[in-house]
Amino acid sequence: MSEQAHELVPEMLSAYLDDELDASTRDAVEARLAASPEWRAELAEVRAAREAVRGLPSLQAPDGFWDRVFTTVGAADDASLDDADTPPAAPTSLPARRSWRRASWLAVAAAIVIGVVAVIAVPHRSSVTPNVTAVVAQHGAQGSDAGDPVTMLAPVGPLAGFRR
Amino acid sequence: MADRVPTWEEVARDHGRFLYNVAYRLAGNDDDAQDLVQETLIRVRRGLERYEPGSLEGWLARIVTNVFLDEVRRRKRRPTDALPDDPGRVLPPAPAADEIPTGFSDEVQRALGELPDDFRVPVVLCDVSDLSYEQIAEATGVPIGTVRSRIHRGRRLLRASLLADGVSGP
Repeated sequence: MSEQAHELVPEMLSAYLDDELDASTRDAVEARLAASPEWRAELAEVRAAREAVRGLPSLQAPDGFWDRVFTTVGAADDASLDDADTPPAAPTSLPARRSWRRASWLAVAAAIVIGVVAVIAVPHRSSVTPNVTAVVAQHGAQGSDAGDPVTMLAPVGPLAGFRR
Repeated sequence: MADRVPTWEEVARDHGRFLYNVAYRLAGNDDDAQDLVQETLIRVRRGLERYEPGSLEGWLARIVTNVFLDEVRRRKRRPTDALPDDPGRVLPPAPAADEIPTGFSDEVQRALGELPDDFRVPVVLCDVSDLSYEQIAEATGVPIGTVRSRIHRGRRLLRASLLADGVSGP
């Protein structure tokens, strides 16, 4: 239904700015604007507000935010995603979810720290490292030609430090 | 975008900034905006199978709006946290902006935050998300005539708030 049949009201001015009126209503609004200083003043008001909001800068989320989102959303419980009526496993209120999210990150960070400490601090088995000096001496003792440098490198028995 | 339904990762990568900006302008602060975006993407991941290719950003704006309004309702039931339209609220510094602000960004954001939710939501969806009145009506579940009225009244309130702050132009 054309809006021309309706009474013109000032709230049509925002719709006029947003190009949300049909052609006949737009013409009617323009005619009213030409005749009414009050309508022109109100149009200037809402135009200024519209431009103020549309002129707001485009914002970037803080560094690291998207990495955390991919980790957290990707790790969301699949069972809770299958049914929109099923509450997600994580808390549903934003502050609770925020605490849950931060606790999850802390847990991940703690696991990484523990892993690094374990790698550095726990003694490693040394028996898998051959004793190079003994190997060379063994070659020298058992080789068919002790003076031949190529033969000296050939394996002639089990490596020192290993057992058959 | 083609008619193929995107993955949630593609949505996050290609439309994440759009989501963050809508969330920030609705919530008025970075912390709540981050939570809104995260919850929105969880709902996106959950609902992608039912998404019918069309206006993806309209669909995303509807979800982030629902997440925001759910949270507003929850906080009104349990008012332990400040709401965006709490007059006593102190806004934290704005996150990084790519463009040089027009000079009144803080004042405009504060004026937006002072609008009642019923007015702030359609104004943000119109002027930040660039949705049509019809899309806003779908997103908010109110008739299109109500959307038109709320946008107009919201802009008038915002303008009055800016003038009261001594900001006469954008």
